Amino acid sequence: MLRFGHMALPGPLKRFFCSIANATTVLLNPTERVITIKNATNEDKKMHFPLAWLRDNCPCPVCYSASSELRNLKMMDFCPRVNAVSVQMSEQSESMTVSWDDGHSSSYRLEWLRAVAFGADTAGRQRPPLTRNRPVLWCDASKATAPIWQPKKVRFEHIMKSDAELLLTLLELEERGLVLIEDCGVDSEVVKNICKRLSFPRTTHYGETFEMRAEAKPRNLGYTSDRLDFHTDLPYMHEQPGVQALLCQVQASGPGGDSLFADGFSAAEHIRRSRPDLFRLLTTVPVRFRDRGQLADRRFDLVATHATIELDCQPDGEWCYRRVHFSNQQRDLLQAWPLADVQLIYDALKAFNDVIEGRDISSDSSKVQLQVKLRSGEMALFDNSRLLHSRTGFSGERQLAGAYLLWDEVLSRRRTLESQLQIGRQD
Amino acid sequence: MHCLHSTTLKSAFSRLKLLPGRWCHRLFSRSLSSASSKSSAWHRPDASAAAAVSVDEARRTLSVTWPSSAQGSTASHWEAASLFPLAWLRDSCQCPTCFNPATKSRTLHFKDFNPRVPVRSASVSPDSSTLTVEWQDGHRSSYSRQWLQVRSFTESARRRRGEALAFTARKKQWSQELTEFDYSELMSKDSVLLELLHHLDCFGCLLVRQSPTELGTLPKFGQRLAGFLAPSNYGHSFEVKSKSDPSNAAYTSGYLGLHIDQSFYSRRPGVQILHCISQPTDGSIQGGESLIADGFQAAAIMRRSHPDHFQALTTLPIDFNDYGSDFVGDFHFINRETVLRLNSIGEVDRVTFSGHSRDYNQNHLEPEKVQLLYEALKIFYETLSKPPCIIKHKMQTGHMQLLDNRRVLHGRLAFNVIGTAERFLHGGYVEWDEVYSRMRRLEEAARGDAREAQ
Repeated sequence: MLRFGHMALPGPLKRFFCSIANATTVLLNPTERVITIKNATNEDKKMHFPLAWLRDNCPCPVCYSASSELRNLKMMDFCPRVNAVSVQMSEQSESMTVSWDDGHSSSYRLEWLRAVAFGADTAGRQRPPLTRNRPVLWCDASKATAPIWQPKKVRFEHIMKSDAELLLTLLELEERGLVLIEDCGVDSEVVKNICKRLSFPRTTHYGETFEMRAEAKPRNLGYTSDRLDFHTDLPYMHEQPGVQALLCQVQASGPGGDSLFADGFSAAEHIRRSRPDLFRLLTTVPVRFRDRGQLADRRFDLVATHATIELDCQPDGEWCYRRVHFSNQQRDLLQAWPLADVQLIYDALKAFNDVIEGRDISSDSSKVQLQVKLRSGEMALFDNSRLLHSRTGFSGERQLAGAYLLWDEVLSRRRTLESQLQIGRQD
Repeated sequence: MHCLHSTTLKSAFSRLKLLPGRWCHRLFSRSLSSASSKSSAWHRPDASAAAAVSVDEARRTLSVTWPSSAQGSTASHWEAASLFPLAWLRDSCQCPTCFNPATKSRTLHFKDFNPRVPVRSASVSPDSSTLTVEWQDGHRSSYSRQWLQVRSFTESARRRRGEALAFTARKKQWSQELTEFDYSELMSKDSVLLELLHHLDCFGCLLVRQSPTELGTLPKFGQRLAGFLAPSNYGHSFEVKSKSDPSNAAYTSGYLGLHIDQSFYSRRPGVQILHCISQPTDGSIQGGESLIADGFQAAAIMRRSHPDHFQALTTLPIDFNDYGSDFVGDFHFINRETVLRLNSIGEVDRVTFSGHSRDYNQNHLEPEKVQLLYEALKIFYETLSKPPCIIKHKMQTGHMQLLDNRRVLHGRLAFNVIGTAERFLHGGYVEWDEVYSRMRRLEEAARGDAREAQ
């Protein structure tokens, strides 16, 4: 039985400050293979250090390379059963020294030990700000009236020049999944520049960047002027790039051509509450996606299988939403579904689509959708692993340029910005 | 990560009330008059034998029974009935409005799709070649017999399709010798390329010999394999020779422990290619042997010999990190993952392991579990480091080593350069999605047609 994981942002890490002058005690427990540091004035605040971990993380120049900030100690030389012969605390140098039975000696700064200590309050924690912030749902189906959320708008020039503005944009991207960037200009190079500001555009079989416009011989529905189904991009990859930049170069002069975005996590949450049976199908049934075609002289045929709603499950039962994979067009005709389950699987897919389209199964639904008509020179930067997107039909000329990025790299950029600017929570 | 539990599906299905059956429609195709059925001379299975079609709206299935196509058979010989879900039939309509044959993709809009659209009528053509279904929404779908038979929903057909997709079913244990391929044959012959890609998928490692020693060889080779080289935080490709200010352990000349590249990435490159531009065999490079180890084999051994430690490696996640400055500017990667990842059916489908990229901060772990985890890491490493899991070889000028970075760990013995000799490797990555795509199209071309791969 799944326990609902918390959606709130983690709070700031409490700095555990313990003055060595206050009679700190050190206890070596050879049976449990742990060293425990206790503060006499605060019995509850115990810091634990497993011996194997201490030896593994000896900071001396033999075991650790300060220049590359990487461990030097080799697994083949490491003995996980190494014993501590003695432990000493030095008040003067604010350090703890352990002598090992392999002849080695390790000295650890107390300040460092406090930051990395094991304990009841750290077990299972997400280490802010180092891991991904929890998403904030666009709408909460449990509330009667949902606040209307509007996406953050930033100016392109501001993002390119200001690290602080870039950081705020990335935090918003993590939490809400969508940011609009104005006044980018219409050159497709702009898309590359935004990507390079973060890391680099992630090449796919469609190239480093791609262009979308109505074509005489459309290779798929995206290249027509039709209204599209809501979808996530690249579900036919085993792990699709999670961030997309989409620049409006030419907007249709007539009606239509609006961009539609929908929060897949909000939709998933809505289905979970209203139709848990269908939710179970959406999180377990593998759906095969495929993209087959030809570009210039290159033929391709990419296939991958995913559940529609992918959960991140911890061993203790806590879970959260991880990714959404949904594309009617790229859902392969061949599936491995048992005959008896097929009708219900289609019911579940359709129910999910209905929630996203706003045509959902309960009467007091909150909208999970956002509609925006991008102007020429306006760019959407969004979470392709969470949001679904589509567009309304249009007539006349309309052209977009886009590229993809990895969340690994966007998060890396966010971390380095935070540490450069010394903003946000410290670890 | 996703979990497929057939019991979950069954219980979900049984809990849901079935819609009451609207009607049960039986329709038989026109057949010859009953008088002729007594004489075998009148029977031509392809002209006279009629298929039987029935629709069950309660179960939302359609049943079609094809006459046997064996020579000299009579109308009384039938193949077993084939069942197809109605929702799937409507979803898979092959008409130009619903399907694009060039891209083999659906063009039917989902917002217009009714997964419970009822059937108005269903029939089979007189020559038993085509099933036609008329839907209540006015749409008409036609399916050829051959098309339907290939997409059978029987258990055996689904199992065959599933096996073709199964991840480790194809994985094979390797021998102590690396299989070698010739570079120029690879670049010129599609059949040899396909053989290499299959080998890489099954065994996880191989060697290419006689490649040119120019720097541009690797991107060209990557393009041949998979369309393009996939860049990382170290650039579009990386050069491995001693660097005076190393941002990564690989750029030194010391011993490099067994590891999976980019363990600090959640979405990491699938195939590593190392092109040996220079490693002379005249003794001027002492040491520098390459080590490669089969992570899947080591995991399988541990599963049997140390089940508790194996379980620790599949359940206790570790933080891997990389901090520095290179191609992408300043970077700080963190990835939290178990060393061994299990897929939905309990197979190990990915290994994540690195001594130098294992972060010092692991305090998300409960302290009581840490000892077991370290022992598990050590046992895993020891298992990897000896036969049958390890291969040691020395790359020569012109060699290319290819590794499955999901499965195979690699390392390098320390080396010492005498005089002005140069040890120069050029490395890059390609993505498995693109490799499999290349394999599918090559297989299709080899079959000489665009028949659906089964």
